[in-house]
Amino acid sequence: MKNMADKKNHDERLERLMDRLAESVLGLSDEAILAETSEAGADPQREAECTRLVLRQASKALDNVHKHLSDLGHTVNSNDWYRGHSGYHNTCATCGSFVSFAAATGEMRGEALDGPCPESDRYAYRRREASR
Amino acid sequence: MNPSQKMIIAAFDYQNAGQVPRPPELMNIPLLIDSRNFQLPRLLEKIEVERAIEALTPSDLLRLQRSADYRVQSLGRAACGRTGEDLLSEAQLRTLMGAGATREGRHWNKQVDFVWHLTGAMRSISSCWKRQFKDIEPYLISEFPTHDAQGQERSPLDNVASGDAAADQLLIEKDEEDRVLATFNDDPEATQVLQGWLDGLTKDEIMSEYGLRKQYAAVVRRILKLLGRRNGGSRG
Repeated sequence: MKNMADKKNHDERLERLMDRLAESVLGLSDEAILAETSEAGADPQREAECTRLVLRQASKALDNVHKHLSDLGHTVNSNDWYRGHSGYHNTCATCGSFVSFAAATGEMRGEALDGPCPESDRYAYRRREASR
Repeated sequence: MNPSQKMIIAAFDYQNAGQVPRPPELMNIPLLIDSRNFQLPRLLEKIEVERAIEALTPSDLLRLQRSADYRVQSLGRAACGRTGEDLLSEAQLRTLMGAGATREGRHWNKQVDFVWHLTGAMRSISSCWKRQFKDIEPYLISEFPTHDAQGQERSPLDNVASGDAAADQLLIEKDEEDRVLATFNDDPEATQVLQGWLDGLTKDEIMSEYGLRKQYAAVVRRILKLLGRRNGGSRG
């Protein structure tokens, strides 16, 4: 029992320390963070652009999923992605077919990728009728 | 055509994006095929988020990366091999999924600076990862550090009672704590601030407890500088 309490205590102590470091680093001035990165032996500009690339790639991964589904006529609501064991899951708002994608690899799976949305014709027809 | 100018093409008479005729230079422009109300907010939000990413300065990006690295380090084994980049990437994904009221997404309130938004998202995601982690997996011997703060090789299992499930993890965490403190053996003020953080004291409590009112900011900078160097920059 004592050991479990010690473990929890050490776990929490280390977590608190790293949390404070994570918060404190945000308060560093521009000059300080650039200088520190250089002093650590890294190129600040290159490091910064690598981080920007990480953010861009995350956008691109989600874009690819949406584009792929859109090319097949599926419509997924971006707000309806939910997290499951194998990544993010969603369903086509028109036909209800399922799709998932892994954030880390960008890999897509699900019946929505098997072919065109069977309901998209009917929906497009209704839209054209409504616009007349 | 200016490639930095963001555009959306509306093509409501088509059934899917593949049917919309476009010259090659427009193939990457997002299409609005569906007139139902959720596509347009997503596309607009995405454009705003992408503009915010491009507007981040090198120092913003470095602060984000280092903050992400420390957050993942705070997870210990719950990180499950994830890196600071994974955390940043996840925060970005959830932002893009969060154009409105969502289950998983995290809406970016434009009144809030984008760096603060991402750091808030990272804090929330790392807490979520921590909660989800089930601390029941067996520990691998390869996970144990084999050198102490002085670089001496040793076995952390030497003094552990057999069958004590929590003891080995306790050693890992204690070891990391000792390593950080040992880095500041020659800096008593830094050691005091670190002890304060480990004990969960606030900035005001630390300043008052150790009489570091004037020096606090400088001490924190020394800590970040030395730990940053120890980690070899953001990508170590």
